[in-house]
Amino acid sequence: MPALFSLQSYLLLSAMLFVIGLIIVLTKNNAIQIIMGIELIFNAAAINFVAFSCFRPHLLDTLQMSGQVIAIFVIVVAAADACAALAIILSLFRVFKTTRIQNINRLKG
Amino acid sequence: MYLFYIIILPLITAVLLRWHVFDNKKSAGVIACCSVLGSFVVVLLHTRYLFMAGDSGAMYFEKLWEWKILPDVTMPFGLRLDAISYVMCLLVTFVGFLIHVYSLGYMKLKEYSRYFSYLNLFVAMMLLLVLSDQLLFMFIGWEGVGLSSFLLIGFYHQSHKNMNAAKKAFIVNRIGDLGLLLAMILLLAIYFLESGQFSLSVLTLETKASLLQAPGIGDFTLIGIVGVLLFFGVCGKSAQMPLYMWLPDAMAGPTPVSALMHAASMVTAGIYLMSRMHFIFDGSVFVSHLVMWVGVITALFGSTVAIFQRDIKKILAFSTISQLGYMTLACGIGAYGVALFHVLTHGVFKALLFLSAGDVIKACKGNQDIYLMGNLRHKLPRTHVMFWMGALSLVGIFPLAGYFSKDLILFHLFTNHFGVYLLALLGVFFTSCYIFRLLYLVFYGNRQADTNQEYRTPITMLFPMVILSILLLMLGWLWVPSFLHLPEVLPEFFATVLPVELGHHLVFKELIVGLISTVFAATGFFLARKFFLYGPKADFWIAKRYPRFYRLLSHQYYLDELYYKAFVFENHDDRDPNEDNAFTNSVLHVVAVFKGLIDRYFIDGLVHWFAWIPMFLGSVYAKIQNGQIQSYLRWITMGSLISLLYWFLWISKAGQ
Repeated sequence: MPALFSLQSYLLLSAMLFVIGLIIVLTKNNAIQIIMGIELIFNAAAINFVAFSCFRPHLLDTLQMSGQVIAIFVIVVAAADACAALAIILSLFRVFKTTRIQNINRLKG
Repeated sequence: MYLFYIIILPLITAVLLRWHVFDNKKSAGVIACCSVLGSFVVVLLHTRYLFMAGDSGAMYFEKLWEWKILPDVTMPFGLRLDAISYVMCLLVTFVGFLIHVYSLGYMKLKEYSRYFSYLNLFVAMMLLLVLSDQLLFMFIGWEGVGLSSFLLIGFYHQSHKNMNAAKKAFIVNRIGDLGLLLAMILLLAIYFLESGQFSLSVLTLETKASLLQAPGIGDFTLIGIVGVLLFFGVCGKSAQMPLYMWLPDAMAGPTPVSALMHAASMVTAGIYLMSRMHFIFDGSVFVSHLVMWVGVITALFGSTVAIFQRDIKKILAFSTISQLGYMTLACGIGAYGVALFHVLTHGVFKALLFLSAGDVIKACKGNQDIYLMGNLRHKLPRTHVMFWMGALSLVGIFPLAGYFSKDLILFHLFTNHFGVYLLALLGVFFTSCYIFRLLYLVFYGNRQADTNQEYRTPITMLFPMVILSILLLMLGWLWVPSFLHLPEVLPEFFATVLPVELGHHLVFKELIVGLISTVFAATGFFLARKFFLYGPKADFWIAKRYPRFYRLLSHQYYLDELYYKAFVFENHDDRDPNEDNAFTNSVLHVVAVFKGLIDRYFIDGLVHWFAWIPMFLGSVYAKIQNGQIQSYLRWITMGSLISLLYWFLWISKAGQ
């Protein structure tokens, strides 16, 4: 498969996605927005897997699609993760009547 | 071979007794006596080692162990038996044994365990002091006798006064010990720098004494500084002039203790130390002169103060101070052998005097005031004879031991320092005055003392006194004046260790000195007999006629009061609280304010500062853990970034 872009550009995209996700996680107030940031981070990782898988020169036949397979796994895990996280947020909302993460600070010493 | 047992026997007994292993039974006392007797026998068994001809001369050395301070630095510890320590050991164990026996009769049965354990501890410590060849281990014994002295002076600890006396003795001794300690540190430093050997062995010190001639501070050589410091230690232990004042108060202890410690053995530790370290005192003219003058001042001080005291034991205590002054004087003129000879004879006759005094006190129901005694010669005829023997020996009358030793000191003074000789002679006169005043007031006159009618001297108390008085008759012949042409046993024995003058046949001078001192003693005797035969009226007459003179002497030249004002701030029980002490109070106030400031800002400040450190750190860390999940994440991110950066910058490059 002829490469339209080099590996570096894919990695750059992935890194940008990761950093955007990280900044969202670190700065946003709303818990749901933070979950969105986490999804971005997952996807950045998935892009990495696929990119490395494509650009590896001598690949065994059996392992040819392994990167893509892991990317699908990541999507599945991300979906499951979103489920669990949304459930947690729902129950948090029931207790605190808010999803503002700054107000949920009971777990301190 | 078994030198160690000399020390260990009384020490083990002391421990066992203190644990009340034998309870307060008669057997406790008997076992204590036996252990000291055992030590005495062990000393005697070692006699043959001393007289075996060998390269080391008359010295027997037993190595015990090495104290490993650092892997390369060790300090050997051994016991050394030579002429000096042999004589001291015999004195301590034998007189110690006799006084143990005396105590069997003197002390009450319920006091046995505690009393004898302290007494045995004292004997063990004194023997360690005497036998040790290392200054450092000698110092352990030195402190040990101080400790047991403290315990025994405060033996009747129900009385506040006794405890104060014990504390006073302990503290004053400690002040003196500071001098000894500093001298030891200085010696150790000098020899360590020179030879790299970490040792305070007397033998090495003696062979390398020339090292000490190096210049020290100003005009002083090092030897002078070490000498002065050592002598300060001696002053503390041997009750010399600036530090004498603990000894009179030390009479608060039981009388046998006064006999053993404060007359026969502990106070002689200073004289022993001076003889042991004689090369240091010989090396500096200044120090020898200092020792001589302190000695003669102390001798005169003690004998004059004793004249107007009322307490029978205090008189004997001042007498001890005065006699110790004579010994120090002898050391100051370089006659160490003579000083040790006087230690020996004084140990015997002063022990006898104290033991007789103890008997008198016991017969008078514990009363110690000689104005309330009198006419006791019918009640205590045997003690009366013993007291006569002791008194005659103290003033130096011919066939008794005191004559020989005191006359030797006077003879040495006569030939070398005539001015000091005259002062010492004056001391002999005063000595005679006070001891015969004591004797006449206690045993003569027709006043009726308040005595215990049933009291008879127990055999355990009588036996030691008899032995001591027999010893008094024999002891002097060990070192006879040379004109008698008898074998000089002791001087030749001492000459193996000490510089001793042998065989100066100055018959005329010796006779003259002996005669003069006897005349002075006799003058004192007749004066005392004239004034005090029928009671203490002469005292009252002097007190009325010359009140200032009387008070000056009976208050020990106000030295005790001076020390009290200068060093002791708190109010005593036995002092008058209404006394005007504005000066003391103002000094006290300044000191208190100063101490308060130090306490508040330095000591409290230090504590607060230590408390503040964890508080500060805690407040910093507490801010990190704030429950904000995003701030945790920020920390995690920052940490990962830093470690990544570190990896990129250093580790990945190093791998290439």
